[in-house]
Amino acid sequence: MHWVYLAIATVFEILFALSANASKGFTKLWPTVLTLVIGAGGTFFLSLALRRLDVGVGYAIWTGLGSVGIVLLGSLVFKEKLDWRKALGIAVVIVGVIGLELSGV
Amino acid sequence: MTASSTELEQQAAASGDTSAKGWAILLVAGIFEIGYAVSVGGTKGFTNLGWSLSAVVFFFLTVFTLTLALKHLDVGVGYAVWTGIGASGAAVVSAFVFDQPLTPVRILWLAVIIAGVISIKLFSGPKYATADEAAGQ
Repeated sequence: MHWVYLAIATVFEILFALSANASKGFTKLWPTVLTLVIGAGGTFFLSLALRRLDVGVGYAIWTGLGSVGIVLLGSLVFKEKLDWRKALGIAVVIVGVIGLELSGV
Repeated sequence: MTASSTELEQQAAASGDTSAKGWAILLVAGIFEIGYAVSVGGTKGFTNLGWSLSAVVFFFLTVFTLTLALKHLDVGVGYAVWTGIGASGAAVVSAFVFDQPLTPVRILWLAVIIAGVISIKLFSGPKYATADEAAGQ
């Protein structure tokens, strides 16, 4: 179940980045409010995941998959260029998450 | 000639100051992020009041200081360093605070994930978006 919580927290993390970006450095009111609400939601689900996962492990996977999701969303939805260095970063994060999982976390 | 080189030196000194300030704030933001991660771990699904309050306070502190630091720094580089401090610090501090194991194998895979995140953040800054546009891609 903690993996489900971590997945939900990761989706919140991706939405958080989009919303924070739209708030233009927290100078626009409603995007700022939305960003804070999303931040609270993400934090809550992360805390549920961390009941089972150790903090260092859960946090790294959360940040890692969040970063991957942000880049993929930017590329697929917003048509941003996915250069090879970002693609390599995505591959490295995924290898790390799988390695961590296989080593029995 | 003399005037313009003095001007350049002044500009360099000024931007050096700004970025030194930016780095100092970013370091503080990274430490707040460690506090956030460790606190969220301690809340046990927000059932522990002390850790929950700590998580909320650190959340605002880290967001505020990161936003401030990124006004002085390259956004891609700033995010990369902040995430690196946060993720590695969270693993080390939680090992001490919650007595969670930090085995060599775990350190290896955490380092791999953190390296990947740093490289994603480094090459996600607006500088790279503009560079691509300038290159006509």
